[in-house]
Amino acid sequence: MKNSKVGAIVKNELEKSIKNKWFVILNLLLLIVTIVGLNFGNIKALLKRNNVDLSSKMEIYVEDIENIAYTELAKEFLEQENVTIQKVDSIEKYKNESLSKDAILLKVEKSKTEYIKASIITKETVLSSYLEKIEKILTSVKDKMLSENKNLTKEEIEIIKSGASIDRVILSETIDTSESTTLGQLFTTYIIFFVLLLCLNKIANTISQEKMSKSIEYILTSINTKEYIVSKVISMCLTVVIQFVFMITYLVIALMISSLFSSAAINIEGANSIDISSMISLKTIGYLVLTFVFMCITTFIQGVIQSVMSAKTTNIQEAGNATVFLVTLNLILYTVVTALVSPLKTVGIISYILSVIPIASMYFIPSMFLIGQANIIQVIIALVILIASVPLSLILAEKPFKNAILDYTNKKNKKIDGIEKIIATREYQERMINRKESSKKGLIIGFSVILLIILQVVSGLILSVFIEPISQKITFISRDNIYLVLMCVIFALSVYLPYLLLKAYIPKEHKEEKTKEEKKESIIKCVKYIVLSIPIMSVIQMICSFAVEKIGLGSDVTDALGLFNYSGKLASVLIFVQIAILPAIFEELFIRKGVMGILKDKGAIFATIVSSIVFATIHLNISQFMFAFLVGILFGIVRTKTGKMYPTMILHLINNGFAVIQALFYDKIVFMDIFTYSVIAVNAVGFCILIYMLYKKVMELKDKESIKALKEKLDYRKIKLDITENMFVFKDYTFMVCALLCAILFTAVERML
Amino acid sequence: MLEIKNLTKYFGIKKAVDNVSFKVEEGHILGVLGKNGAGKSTIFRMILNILEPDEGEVLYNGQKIDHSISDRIGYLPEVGSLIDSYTVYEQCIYYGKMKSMKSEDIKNNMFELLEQFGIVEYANMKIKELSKGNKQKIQFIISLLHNPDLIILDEPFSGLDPVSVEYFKRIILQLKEQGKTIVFSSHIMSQVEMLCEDVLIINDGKVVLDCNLEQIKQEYSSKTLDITGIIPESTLKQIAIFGTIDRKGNNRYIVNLANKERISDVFRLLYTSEITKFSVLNVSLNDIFLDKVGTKYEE
Repeated sequence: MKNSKVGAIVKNELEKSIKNKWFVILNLLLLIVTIVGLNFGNIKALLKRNNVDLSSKMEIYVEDIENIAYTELAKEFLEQENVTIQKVDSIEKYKNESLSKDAILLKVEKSKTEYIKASIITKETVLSSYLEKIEKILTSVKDKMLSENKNLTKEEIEIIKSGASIDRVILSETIDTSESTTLGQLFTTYIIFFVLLLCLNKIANTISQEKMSKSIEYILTSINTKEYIVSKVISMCLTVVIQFVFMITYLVIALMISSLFSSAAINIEGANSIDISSMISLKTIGYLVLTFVFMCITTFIQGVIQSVMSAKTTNIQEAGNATVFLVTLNLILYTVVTALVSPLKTVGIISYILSVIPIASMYFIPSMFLIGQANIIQVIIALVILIASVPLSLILAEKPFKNAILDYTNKKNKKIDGIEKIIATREYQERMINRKESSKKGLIIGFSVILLIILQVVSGLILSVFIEPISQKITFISRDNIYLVLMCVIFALSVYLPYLLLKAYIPKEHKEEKTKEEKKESIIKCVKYIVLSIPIMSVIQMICSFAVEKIGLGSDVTDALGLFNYSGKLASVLIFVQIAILPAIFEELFIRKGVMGILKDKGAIFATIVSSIVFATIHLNISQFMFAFLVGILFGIVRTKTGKMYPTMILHLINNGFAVIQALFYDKIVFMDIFTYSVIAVNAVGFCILIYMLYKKVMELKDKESIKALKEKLDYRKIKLDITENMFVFKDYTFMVCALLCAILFTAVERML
Repeated sequence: MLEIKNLTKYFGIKKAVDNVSFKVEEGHILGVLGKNGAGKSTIFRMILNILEPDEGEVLYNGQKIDHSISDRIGYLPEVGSLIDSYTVYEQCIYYGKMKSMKSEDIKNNMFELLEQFGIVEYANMKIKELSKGNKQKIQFIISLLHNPDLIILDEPFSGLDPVSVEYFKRIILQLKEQGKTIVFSSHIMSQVEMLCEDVLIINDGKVVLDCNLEQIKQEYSSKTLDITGIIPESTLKQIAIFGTIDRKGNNRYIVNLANKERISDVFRLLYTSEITKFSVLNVSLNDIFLDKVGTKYEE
């Protein structure tokens, strides 16, 4: 009774997946791809023959001093049109660039061990039919030689059986990879991935569909959970089998067409078609069988895992995403296999361990078998473990599956629904909304930073590739200058585009009309902050360079940029623009206006800290990280206090400009002296004012009331609440991606330095 | 006969179903009444063995319900369980097979039921093309497809127009005549009142009332009198000995008696008064609910 139900589901699913129009389209495409892929060389040759030159002839040059096979070859090929055969003293003189595409150089000599040794040299790949013909003739010659020899031993018979050994050399560097064997191997890999992906996706979709439509409610009244999972997964596995059978059929069809091609190309009467079975060795068959068996069982287990994961989804979009985990796992395993198992090295202990673990064994066992590193016992052990894990996976999957699939509420509502009570106050609901808004802000900031980093890195890579061809075309300025100009443009764009993204989300402010006096006041304020910030910046610089040196990180970043390599006035100006002016404008726009603007309503302190982190991150190296972070906080304070953009821009310009000038004019001693003294003077003035201001502030604080006011301002609980609420900005996944990306780039840059 | 014993189910720390016990006799209709979230669907899901109860058990003809006898049970889930991409016929085949039916029988039964509802033309339509009411009809058809003995209908009337509700009622009553046991739930009191003999009222996962509808109505009705007329104060005082008097307007009194044998006594007392109306009140289910739960039933 029950089994008939399982059968009914399987049948139903199979019908649904095979009657599907996409299944038909997919298979048609696969058929075409297989045929074209396997006959690519033939089709190309055919097209060439028809289009280019009908009278072009295949020339065969034979070096055969002892006259072993020439007579036979001549007999065979002279009958054919379009083929000329010629005996030469040495093929060496033909072996150069001027060799015709339609020429075959053949060298035949006697060999003690194998009777005949031959080598074929061509410029590109030629029609395989010619080569097969030659091989055939040489083999027959060899057979003849052997039969003349009366003392045949067992080993000699084996040698007779084997074909004549031919060294194959292709001179031209552009080797056509349409060889059927490589394509076949590639195909196996693609089949595995393709079918697995298809299968997991289908399981995810069908289960998600049954959950969404709530039909699961009805079905589970009639059939128990385990049977349900089994039937769903089996039906998908069967789809895989059907697909696999189809693929093999396509392969056979393609091979048959290929053989038809080759006989048509030579056009000799009674030409034999390729013996398909000879192309597939016993080992390959074993490989295919093993792959098939392991793939089926593993797909079943993965299907069970997938069904549990899909059961947790609450909408159809998630169903697709739920396959990501397993697909990633498979990709990782595949990469590991290609790295660990290769014919060139012995297989390590890790591979042996992995080869018995379910799922991983699907990749390890067949490939280890193919290179002869796995014996039968090992295969059996892996298979037994794999089979044992099937019922285990089902038992483990049953309960979570049932719990998940009958749970229609999505995760966020779950707490409200049962365990936590809904707080029906307006404040609570508003806080929830605020959290969502915060998270959205995090998404925007994270995304814009990712965009910025990717734009910078990718455009830099593209530039380094295309700089040569561009500089060859534009001759009126030097290569260096073009490079610098393009770098400037790239930098500006890669910061400005993310800024535009941020700008769209900055809440608009009302601009109040200011009187002249107010304007004057604000300018004075700005100047005051600039002057005060310079000495603080210097102190930070000193501390940081000291710390970086102590840690032992890369020295001056400007060194690494290779600023000293450029010479000429224009180049100096461009460097100044690129390193001092552009960052001062665009980075400030992005960080101080964009990021801080978006986070403005989260409090000035929070906005400052987050913006400094982002600011430090986009510098993309650890040496600058600390400095950038501290300066970022300083700039953030200046920005909030003054409410203007230009003070931080000026400060940024001063900071970067200082470094650039130092780097560019290091050899002009007089200039450098004046420059350094003026910097010291500015710093000294700033320090004095700073100390005076601090003194004034401390004096103010002595007043008891102001202390009380300050304490009120720094209410611990309120700050704590603010922080927990604000942390939702970081909850978004883009931040994690961002952090990961930055970490990778950090290490990459560090390596480069 | 369906018997439910001490059924309890927790969701987290929340008690969704709290020690629920009831019986349904063969050939009876039981209406389960309760507000949204009262635990009706949870009880049904436990009866059908989709959810496992934390405590208690469900017996059908003395046997524990599992997948071996689920073929004899028809179920209409509250949430709607049709797959959009299927046609009505495919859907019936799929679910019919789940009840171990043969394709031929499924086809015949489906057309029979479609004809009863007058929607034969939908047989080859896709589910997504149907309206909500029609989907409900198809679900109802599917729950009857395998001619089950016990039919469980979770909110069968939701999304239906009044005409379709009548159809449903007629068919449910027909099924009752055929001797089927039917359990259905609703949050609308009048629907329960119209259809069933037995009523189970559930509030916050607990059984508030479990009885035969006629019986309880008689019980309640026989105790309440509606009297209109000029009654002297002395008579009123005498009546007050038997029960409470609720004065409605000038000459109208609602008398709640403690004992129904007193009706004749009251009637005798009023013999001398000028009475224009004397009736024994027929109480609605709502009044009973009010009396039992203390609050008014809200739909």
